[in-house]
This record gives sequence, structure tokens and C-alpha cells, in this order.
Amino acid sequence: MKKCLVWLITVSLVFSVFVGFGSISFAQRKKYNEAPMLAELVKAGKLPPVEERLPEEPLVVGPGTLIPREHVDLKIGQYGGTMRYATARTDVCAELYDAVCEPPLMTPGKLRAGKGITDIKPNLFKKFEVSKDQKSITFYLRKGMKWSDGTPVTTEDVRFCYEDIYLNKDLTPVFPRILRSANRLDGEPGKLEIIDKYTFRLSFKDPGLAVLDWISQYGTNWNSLLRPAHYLKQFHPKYTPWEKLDPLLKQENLTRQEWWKLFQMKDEGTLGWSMVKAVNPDYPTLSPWMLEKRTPTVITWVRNPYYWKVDRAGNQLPYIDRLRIEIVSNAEAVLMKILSGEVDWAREYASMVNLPLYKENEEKGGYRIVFLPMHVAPVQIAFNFTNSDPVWRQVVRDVRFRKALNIAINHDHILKTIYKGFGKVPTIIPSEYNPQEASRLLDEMGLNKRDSEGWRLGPDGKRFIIPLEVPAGFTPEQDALCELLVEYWQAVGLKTNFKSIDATLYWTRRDANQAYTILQWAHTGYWRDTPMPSDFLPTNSRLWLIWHDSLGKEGEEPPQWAKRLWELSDRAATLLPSASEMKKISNEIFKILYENVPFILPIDYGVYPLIGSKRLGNVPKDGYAILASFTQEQFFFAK
Amino acid sequence: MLFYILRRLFLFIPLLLVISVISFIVIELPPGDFLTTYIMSLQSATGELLREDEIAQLTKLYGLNQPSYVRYFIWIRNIILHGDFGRSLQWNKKVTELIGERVSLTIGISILTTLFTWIVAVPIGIYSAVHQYSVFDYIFTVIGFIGLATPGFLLALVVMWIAFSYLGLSVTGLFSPEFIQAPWSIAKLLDLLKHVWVPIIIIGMSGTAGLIRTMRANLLDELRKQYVITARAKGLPERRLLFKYPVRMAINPLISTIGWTLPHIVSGETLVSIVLNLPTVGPLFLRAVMSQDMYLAGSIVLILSSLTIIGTLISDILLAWVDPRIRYGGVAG
Repeated sequence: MKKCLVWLITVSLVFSVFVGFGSISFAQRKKYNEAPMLAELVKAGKLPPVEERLPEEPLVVGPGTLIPREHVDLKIGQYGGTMRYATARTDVCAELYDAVCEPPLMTPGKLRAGKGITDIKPNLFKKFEVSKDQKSITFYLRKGMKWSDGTPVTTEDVRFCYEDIYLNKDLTPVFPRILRSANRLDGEPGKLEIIDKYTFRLSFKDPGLAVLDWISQYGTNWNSLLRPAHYLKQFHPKYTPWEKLDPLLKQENLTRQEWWKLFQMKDEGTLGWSMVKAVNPDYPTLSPWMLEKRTPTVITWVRNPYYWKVDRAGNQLPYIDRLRIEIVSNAEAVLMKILSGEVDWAREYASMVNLPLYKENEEKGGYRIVFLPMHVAPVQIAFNFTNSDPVWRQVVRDVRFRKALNIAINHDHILKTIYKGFGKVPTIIPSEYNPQEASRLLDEMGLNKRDSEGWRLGPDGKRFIIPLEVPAGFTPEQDALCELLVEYWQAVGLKTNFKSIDATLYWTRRDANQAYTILQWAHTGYWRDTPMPSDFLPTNSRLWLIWHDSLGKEGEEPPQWAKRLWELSDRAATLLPSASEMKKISNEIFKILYENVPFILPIDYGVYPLIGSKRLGNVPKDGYAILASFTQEQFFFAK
Repeated sequence: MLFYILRRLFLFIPLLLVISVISFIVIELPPGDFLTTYIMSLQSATGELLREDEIAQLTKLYGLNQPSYVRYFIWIRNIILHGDFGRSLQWNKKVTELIGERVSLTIGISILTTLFTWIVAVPIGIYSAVHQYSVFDYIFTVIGFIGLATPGFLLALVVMWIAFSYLGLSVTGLFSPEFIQAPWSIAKLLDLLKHVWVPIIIIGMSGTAGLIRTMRANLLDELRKQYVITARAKGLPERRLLFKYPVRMAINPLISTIGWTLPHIVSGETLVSIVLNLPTVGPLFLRAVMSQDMYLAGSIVLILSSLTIIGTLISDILLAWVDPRIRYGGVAG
């Protein structure tokens, strides 16, 4: 009897252990899913199973993770498909970089941490901690995260990046200011401390969190703090003897002094927005896709089997198998491709000017137009206050002149004719249409005398001319816009000469302090979210910029309002203060801008007509266009 | 004759060196350099500004902190010693690779186009001259003038639009999407033939018009000459009469311009290629010049110049061979 009992207990114990193991492994086997094309490779023994490819704690992407929940109807996607882009440039393809850019930390739904540290969420890094004195930040990597070739990611990759790349004079001739204390050109470089394989700390002499802002911004990539050390060490003389480097250098006809050129050629993470120039498929990456193949006009990127994000159901992202970029010869060819439905996602070349054509061919081309707010205002015309022309200096430094130019513009008219009604009249600076008041202001400031043809005379008694110069081809609608501006200003008696200048000449002149008015994008979306360094600063007045950057040694000292703008934005950038202080800084900046009117803003709250294939799912319906484009790892093609 | 050829070849190298210096200077002439263009295009595309450390790194990488003559010498030295034409800054690839990828396609299209032009223009020209003032002569004349007057790229745009709106064809490029990255095969060749007739006809059109008029005019001149009347009087059949001497004379200009077709064949017709989005050398060159990609642009100019010099030499030799009067130093009578 006893023997029977013992036997029964043993058997049931063994049985339960088997069942236990079985259910655990069954659960484990079902915990994560992967794309069919990867499952095939796993079956063939070419890839480890998905549980071993993902980190212990992958980033789980659900509603609100990459983008606020109200901005997209998030669904669990389906695997498969190729996303097609088209670009007319060989060196920039915005949609590609949007897709592969992975910052170490992120600010979902925002361009930057506008409310301070609470806006910053984990991405590549699992966690971060700021010390009480704000002088050091500790970062935690994800254990088990691997590069696209299967090698584990550790703090050795961080150390290599910091000590062997940034601190190496050949590779980095100018040490990045953002890694210096208090984000100042004369600040001491931060100190890197490796605590263990997955933890490191950055410490600075003065309190300052500019680094945190930098690595959490949209547009910053993982290569800001990490590089694939195991791959790049073979090109670095500190780790590879010259005998091994020489044949590689010889292939590129480089000397030993030029070893850094070979290194940078191989280190393609630094291409940034020019990621479309990547030619090295062996380069390990942490992006959702990696380079597969290049031919003269078509480039394909394929999914990264070691990508570290999963959706709520445990499916490893991204859903889409491949990205395909076609380089065509000009913008019209891109338009042609969009209209014939050969493009699945277009942000850069989508322009309001072509809206009627997009609408006409929506059915035939199988795409939809996704209207999303721009993070920039289509154009801003900044004044160069430091131009050496004495007449210009005297006139432009009078705030009445600047105010008059703005209120002489009929913003509603511009909105209707050029932007098809999409957008709003700016409120950042005085913009209510009032040509009589404009005229009165110009009379009051001394430009009341007119010549025989009715044009106002400047303080030197000669006809005063506004030089309206733009870089050729900067935005599609600038010519039409400028012609309207000429009309408005000439209506109040100011002769305006509109000139379209070759772009290289234009920026060279701007840098040489020879420009009068400068056309550029205005990051008004940024200004509203966060008051950090941005183009509301009068950086186009070159001598003021030089004064600020040289800490007062060179250049020309700006007036109080301009100095205050720089002070406030430097403070916001360096300290990442609390939400309430950010609000105070923001309000003061907007007050200074409204009172001093340092530029001209034709419209605000512009809209991008993005083009997305009808079959694409999880396409955001709100939020900034550029942020929507950054969530491409959760896009999918509905079957 | 041999001495003549040797003398011409002897001048080849110094001529090329002078051309390389001039082209390098011209490419560097616009203000700024590749980096300023790049920074500007980055800003206009993405609104992003490069940090000062990034700019310093790129300046060093592209060698733009060295003076122009240093960069020129390094370039020439690499060409002579290593056959290395440098690296393209905008494509991030070797110049030889970039040109090599495109040159076979360019030559193929150009030769087909030139053949098309000759095959179409010569018979029509001969017909027009022989049947002067007939109905067809007038028709061909009108078409000829329209072809001469309409720019090739305009024709290309019109054809593209018509193809798109009425035929639903997307005329962008030489291959259907599935074949672009595929290796060469019979299917790919067939796909190419399906698409290539559009560029050939458009590019060929402008060429045929001029050639028809030239052929017609030259042949008319020849047919009025004394020896033709004599031959006719002596009973030579009309066709034999036509092709034995007069057509040979009228073809003269074709041969003398062969020299120019050689570089033209390699560079391809630039404007139409841009409109039709063909992956040939012409658009590559234009892009290089516009962004001041000095090694790529300079190398293409160097290659085209050498081809022009060689081509002119070849056409001089051919002309001397075809026209005995040049050989014997006689004056055209």
C-alpha cells in the first residue's frame, strides 16, 4: 500500500513538473510574435527565436506611447508590405529619416519637452534619473537589446562614442557644445561615468540639462550617444593595428593621417537627415529598418530583426517589411508618381500649391490626403538689424517701421489665394490689416516725405527701397507670396524690389552680414510648445549672433530686448525648468516678440497636405505632420 | 596622314590639362561650396540647422578647409596615379562607380537615338530633294520646322501629360518598378524596350528635323551639278545615279559631325532626360554642377572633353577617307 502511494505521488509530481514546464514554455512561445519573413529565417536556423532577439523589457507600444491617443485610432497591425517613397534629391529624403530615426528618449506628441522633464519618456533608454542639483543624469539601457547584427548593446558602445569619437580630435574637430557644461561654448566637457554594463552617468560642472533636451528631441538619432563599438573598432587605430588598417585605407586611396575619413565613411549613423546616402549594409543599427540594397535610382531598406519595440499583443514591430526610396530627377516627377499612386507616404514634397491636382487624382491614385498642422510657419521674413547700410539700420531699428510692414499686409487675402484657406492670421505679432495705420506710423517716424513718383523718401532724402530677397526654390509658394507683399507695401508708399537669388549666394551673403531681409521657415510650433532656442531669436542679424556666441568679445551688442530673448531661451534650454517656469518664460518671450516685431509673418498654423496610401493603417489624424511621420514603425498595410 | 594623326595625339595631354584647370575653376566660381549648398538644402527640406560641431566635422571630411589648388592637385594626382576620379560628395560614392552605373544605359539610348535619327531623316531628306515641291515635300517641311522650333523638353512634357491623362500610363523612367533593382535578364530587356521608345522618339525628333533639312538642301545642290546631268545623259539609271555620288556628297555633314556625337552619346540629352527621369549621365552632371560637387562635375567634364577631342580626330580621319579631295589636298569644286 505504502509503495503504491509513494509511486503515485512520484508520478503525479513528475507529471505536474512536465505540465508546468510545458505550460511555461508554451506561454513563452506565445508571448511574442514576429513577421512571417523572419519566422522563416528562424525555422531555417539563420536567426535566433524572437524571444532571444528582443530585450528583456522591450518598449511596449500602445495608445499614447508614440503619439497621444487622441491623434490616432491605434489598431493592432498586420505584417507585410513595402512602403514606397519618392524624392528628387540625392542627399535628403525626409520620410526615410522620419522612419528610421530613434532618439534615446522621446517627447510623444510634442516637438520638445515644453513642460520640462515630465514630458520626456523612455525610448531606447529604459529610464533616466536627474540628480537633485541638476548637475548629473543617470541613464539605464535595456538589458538584452541587440544591434541589427545580434551583438548586445552595452555601455561600452556609449563609452566608445564619447571617449573614442567625441573626444578624438581627428574625428571631432570641434567638441559638441551640447555636451559642455551649461551648453556654453566655453563650458567644460561633461564627464562620462560607466556604472555597469547597462548604466552610465553624465556629469557637468554647472547645473544644466541641455543634453536631456537634445536626446529627446524629434530629429535626434540614437547615434547621439551610442555607436556600434564592435563594428567601428576595426577602423580605429586605437584598437586595430596599422597592418590591418593599411589595406582598407589603400582601397580608398587614403593615407594613415586620413584614417578618420575611412572611419566616418563607415560610421553611417552620422548621416542624419541624409540617411538616403547610406551605402553600407553591414553597418549595425538600432532603427526599425536597415539598409538592404542600392541601385542608381532605387534604395531598399528591410526590417531589423532585432528591433526592440513590440505592440500590445506582443507582435515585434515594425509591421511593414520594407521601405523603398526612388530617386527621381525633379519635383515634377515626384508629383507624377504621387498622382499615379506609386507613392505610399509623402511629406516633404506635399505642397498646398498642388492641392487641386492631388484632389483630382485621389480616386485613381488610391491615396488620401492627410491634412496635418505644420510644425513650422510656411515662411518668415527676418530683418538683418546689423547690416552696415546706415539708412537701412536707422529705418529698421524703429519698431514703427516693422509694425507698419506687418499691418500693411492683408493676411486674409494671402490665406485665401495662396493657402486655399488653410491656416490662420498670426497672433504672435501685430497682424490686423490696417493700411491707414501703417501709413500713419510711417509718417510719424519721419518717412513722410515723398518723391515725384509718390514713393517715400528715407532719412537721407533719397527714395527708400525695401530689398525683398529670397533664396530661389526654397518653398513652392514663395514667389506668389512675395509678389503680394510687394503689392501691399507699395500701397503704403514703400518701393519694394523683389529678387530671387541663387540659394548658395543667398546664404553666403547672409553669413557675411550683407543681407537685408532673410526668408526662412519659422518654427512657430516649437515656440508655442517650448520657448527653447529657435528662430524667434534674431540670429539673422549676424553681428548680434557673433556677439552672443563669442560671449561678448566680437560682433555688435544687441539692444536689451534681443539680449533678453537670448537669455530666456538659453535658460529654458539649459535648465529644463518646471512647467510653471517654462510658462513664465514663454509668456515673456511672446510679450517681447509682440512689442518689438523683429520679423514678418504672413501666416501661421499652416497645414501640410500629406499623401498616404488608402491601405495604410494607424496613420495619425491630428498632431504635427512631422511627428506623425515619426511613428512609421506602427504603420501597417491593411489586407 | 600618319604624321597628322600623331601630331594631333601629341597635343591631347596638354589640352586636357588646360581643360581640367579651367573646368575646376569654373565649378568653384560660384560663392560658397558644396557644404553651403548642402546646409541650405537641408534647411529648406527639413527646417533643421546643423550645429557648429557638425559643420566643422563635415568641412574637414569634405576637405573644404583646404585651398582650391591643393584640392585640384590631389584630384589630378589621384587620377594619374590611381585612376581614382575622387568621391562624389552628394552621392557618397566613388565617381567612377557613379558614372559606370549609368554609362552603358546612356550609350545604349544615345546610339539608338542617333540611329533612329539617321534612319528616319536620310530617306525623308532624299525623298524631299528628289521630289521637290511635291505634296509630301511640303508636309515633311512643315513637320520639320515644327520639330526644329519646339524644344525637346516641352515635347517630353506634353507627351508625358497626354500619356498620363488619356492613356493612364505613368511615363517616369525606363523600367517598371519590379525591374529596376532586378539583375539583367531577357524579361528586363523586353521591359526596357517597352519603355525606351518614348525617349528615343522625343530626343530623336529634334535631331531629325535639322538633318532632313540639311540632307535636302545638300542633295538639291548636288543634283544640279554638271556631272549629274552628264551621267543622266549617258544613260545611267536614275537610282544608281542618285546613290553613286550625290548622296555620298550630301552625307558629308553627317560624318563631319560624328566627332561631336561621341561626347553627346556619353552625356546623353540632358534636358529631356531630366523631364523623363532617365538614369543617364546628363542629369547626373547637371545635379553635380548645381550643388558644386566638384570631383563629380570636374571628372565628367574631363571625360567629355577627352571624348570630344578624340571624336573630332576620328571625324577628321573619316572625312579624309570618305572624301578623296581632302586627301589629295584639292579644293572642293
